[in-house]
Amino acid sequence: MNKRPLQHSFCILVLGIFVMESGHAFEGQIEFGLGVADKDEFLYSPFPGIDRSPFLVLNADLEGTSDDAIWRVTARDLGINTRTLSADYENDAGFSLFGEYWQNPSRQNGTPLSPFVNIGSTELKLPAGWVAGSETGDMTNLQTSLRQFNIGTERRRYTLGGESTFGQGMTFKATAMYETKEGIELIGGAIGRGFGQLVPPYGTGTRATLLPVPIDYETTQLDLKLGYQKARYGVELGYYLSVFRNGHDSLSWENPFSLDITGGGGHGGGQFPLASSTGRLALYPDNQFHRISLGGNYLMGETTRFYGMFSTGMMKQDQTFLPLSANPALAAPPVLPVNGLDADASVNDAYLRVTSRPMPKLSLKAAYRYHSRDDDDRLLGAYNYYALDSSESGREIISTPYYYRKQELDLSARYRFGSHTSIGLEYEREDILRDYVDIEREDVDEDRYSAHVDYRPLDSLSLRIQGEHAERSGSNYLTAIGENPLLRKFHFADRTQDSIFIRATYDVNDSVSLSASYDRLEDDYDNSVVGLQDADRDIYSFDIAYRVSEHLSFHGFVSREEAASRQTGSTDGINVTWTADYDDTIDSFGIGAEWQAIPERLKLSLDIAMSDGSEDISVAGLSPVIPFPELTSDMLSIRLAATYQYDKQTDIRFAYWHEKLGTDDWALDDLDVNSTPNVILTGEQSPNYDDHIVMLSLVRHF
Amino acid sequence: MRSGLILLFSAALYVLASQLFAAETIGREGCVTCHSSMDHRATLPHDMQDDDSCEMCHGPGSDHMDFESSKGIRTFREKSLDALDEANGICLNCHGGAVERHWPASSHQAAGVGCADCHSIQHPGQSRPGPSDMSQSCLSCHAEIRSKTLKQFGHPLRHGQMQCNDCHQAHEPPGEAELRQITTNDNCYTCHAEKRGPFLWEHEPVFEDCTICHDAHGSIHPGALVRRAPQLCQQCHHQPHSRNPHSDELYDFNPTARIARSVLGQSCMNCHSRVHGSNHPSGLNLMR
Repeated sequence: MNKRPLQHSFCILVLGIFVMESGHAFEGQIEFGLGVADKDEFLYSPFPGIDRSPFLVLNADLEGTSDDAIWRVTARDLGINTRTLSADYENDAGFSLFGEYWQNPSRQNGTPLSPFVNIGSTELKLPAGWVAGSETGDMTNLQTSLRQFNIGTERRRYTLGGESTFGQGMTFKATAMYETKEGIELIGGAIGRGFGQLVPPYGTGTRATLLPVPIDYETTQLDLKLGYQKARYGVELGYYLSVFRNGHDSLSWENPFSLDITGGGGHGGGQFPLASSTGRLALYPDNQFHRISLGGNYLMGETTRFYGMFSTGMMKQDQTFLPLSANPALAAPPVLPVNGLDADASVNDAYLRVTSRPMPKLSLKAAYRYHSRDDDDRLLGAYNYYALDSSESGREIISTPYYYRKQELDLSARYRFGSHTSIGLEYEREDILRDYVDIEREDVDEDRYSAHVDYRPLDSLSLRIQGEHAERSGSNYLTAIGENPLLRKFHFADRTQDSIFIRATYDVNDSVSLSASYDRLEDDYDNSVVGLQDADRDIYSFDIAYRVSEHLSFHGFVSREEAASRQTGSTDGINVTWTADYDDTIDSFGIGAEWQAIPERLKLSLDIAMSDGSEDISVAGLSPVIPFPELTSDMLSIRLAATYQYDKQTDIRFAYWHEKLGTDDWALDDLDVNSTPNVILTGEQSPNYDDHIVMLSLVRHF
Repeated sequence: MRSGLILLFSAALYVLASQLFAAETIGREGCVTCHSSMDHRATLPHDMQDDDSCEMCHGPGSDHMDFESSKGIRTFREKSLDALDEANGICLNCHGGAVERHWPASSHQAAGVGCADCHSIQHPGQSRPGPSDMSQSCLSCHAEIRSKTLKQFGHPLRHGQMQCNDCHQAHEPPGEAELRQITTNDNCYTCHAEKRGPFLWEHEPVFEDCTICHDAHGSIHPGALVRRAPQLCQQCHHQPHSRNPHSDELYDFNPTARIARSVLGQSCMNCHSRVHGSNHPSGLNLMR
């Protein structure tokens, strides 16, 4: 049995005794009870922390005061694995402390399969007697070798911090955070070079296997701030540290495919020698980030404020390199001249802002933002690499540094006409500079113009209309080596963007409030022959809140999102030879009610949310295609709660939670491990679950 | 002269009437006579036990008591721009500091949002003056985001394992997009530090902006991608067929075709699994 709920119960008990014995006045509540669950283990299941039934319901809110101090303890879901326990203390002398424990699991579905015998290891082994094959259908003992495993990770975070005010306006804040993430994820591993034949038998070419990879991450963060604030000005000096450590530096696996899958094609079209019997991936390397920052503010007169912030940081990474290849059949691959990258990348940021109200009805704002990332020169020169653990590629590669800079300017003005109308105008400019080898477009800039009108003719009615127009362009678009000259990458490409947003809110009376909005966005990539062409999105939304009486209220919403986009492709590099159209529709609906069924005694609440989403991908080319099935996602969530006040100190709570999700995903559904000849899949299906949770608890107030 | 006297008399009469008929305080006991739910036992974020605790923010309550409606009292739901400024001013009278310094520049302020539109200070059991339910409060206006949070892939906002304010700070800190950290990527790295690098082989969009490929608020595509792979990848990678006969391919749905390797399962990431960057010396194509 998992002992953590008991440990946390014990902690709460000890805290309670401490509080009662400390002489502090305190109040609050503790909730204790039992729950039962009928649930499926699927990713994004709404209740990932419930891994057994029955489970403990354990929550607490405690707050204590003395003449000069206050403390609080908050506990949420201590009885399950999605839990938070936090405490803070502050006194009149300006000293405060806080701490928090946070735990959050994420589970994927419970049915993935893999032939590897030692799942959880970073050196995956096939079972004895494994029959390798050129294609998955040739692996005669694949089905009998499969074993089920769980995909999922769990994060645990410990936070400790404090703040102290001392002297005249001096403050010091410190926050330290340590987080672990452990579990199993899925990662693709490929062996063998070349592309193979277009139709079966494929013979040659790359083969891939979906591999369970163990996750063992640790992240430590420290945030320190020293501030000095007077009535009109202040400064703040900050230091931030992030240290990431990965418990595993690589994942290797025995190749389930036969070694005669080498292929032609690819770069130069040559033939490639034997594939490797072993593959090895590099996992995320350890890294560090240090940043110092200096911020300041100044109030000039009564209505003009200046704010500025500058920071400079350094990203560092020097993980020892893995060998160029894990292929045991090869002679020892050449040794690289350096053991690791010893990489430093400097990151600089600045933000300057002035806001002013020169007249009571006029507000002005000007802001400038700067961000850059600049790699140090790489020490590793050119070398021959080994593609997919096969032979030496015969091609020299060199890692080159990157430079990226983004500047943004934001100017806005807002003017009020009387007490009912205001008009706002805004101009924003974004300028991005990229400087690295083979960059398609060094300069990309975008101008954005927006205007809005707020009209509030009554104390009960507000209308807002906002429109934006933006144009993005840049320097000459160059074609990267080997790339299609017709392609324009969507985040570099010329783009015209228009949007409009309308929202109305009306309080019909003291009891009824209505709100409706419409939001449209249009992106046009006018100068892109190949790539993303256009993307439109419309969102309609309506909300209502109805307070029938002091004891009964309802709220509800309904919304529809429609998105459509088109991209084009070219297989000959000269003409557009195919198109892909995407149509997304998402309908959302929610309704809720709160009812004091017996005033001061029985309170009932109900929340229902539904979402019905789909995406249709239509592809068309010069020859017939097999259409993609529709992607769908239907979700229903119900939460029902009842609280009965037994006496002044005791409540009885009942809760029923239900969530049902049905999805269709052609990338997963109805596919067996060997459904695809050149990839060993896991057979996992798209998320579908039908969960029911019932909880009964006692709430004791102090 | 005569008109002057009449004017003076009128002004005096107005002042006198204003004094005589001005709303008067009724004290906390007067308020909870009707608003019994405010007389609850649970902890409140504001100390509402003092006699003037209600009227300090809502104003004198005698007219409200007489009218038995929302007239004559500040409800913090008034929508006129004057009332909004006045209501926000009442909050900022006490809540100065960083909130006061940044609020005039915030997009929420520019959008005419009032403090009380998000913050509820009267919910029993809530020990801090934060939004009554942080994410729900945000989503009641941000309908686009609300719709996304109902999709199956994304951050666990819907069930409270995360809140909007884990990433965002609505009072306009220095971060872009009202994020808590300076840049979007810095914000992501606080939980996903493994993707920070630097790597021997970088994937340029990754270090520029995570949102080029991901929609953190929710998506129907695994990994909260903005578009399904392989088409998402093909929006930037489209090498001619003669050189690399798979990145410009027209992919359709055929599980037994060679191209299924790039469509099913994890699509392009079946092979290019180190898409966030590789530190393997042979990881040029993000496959090691």
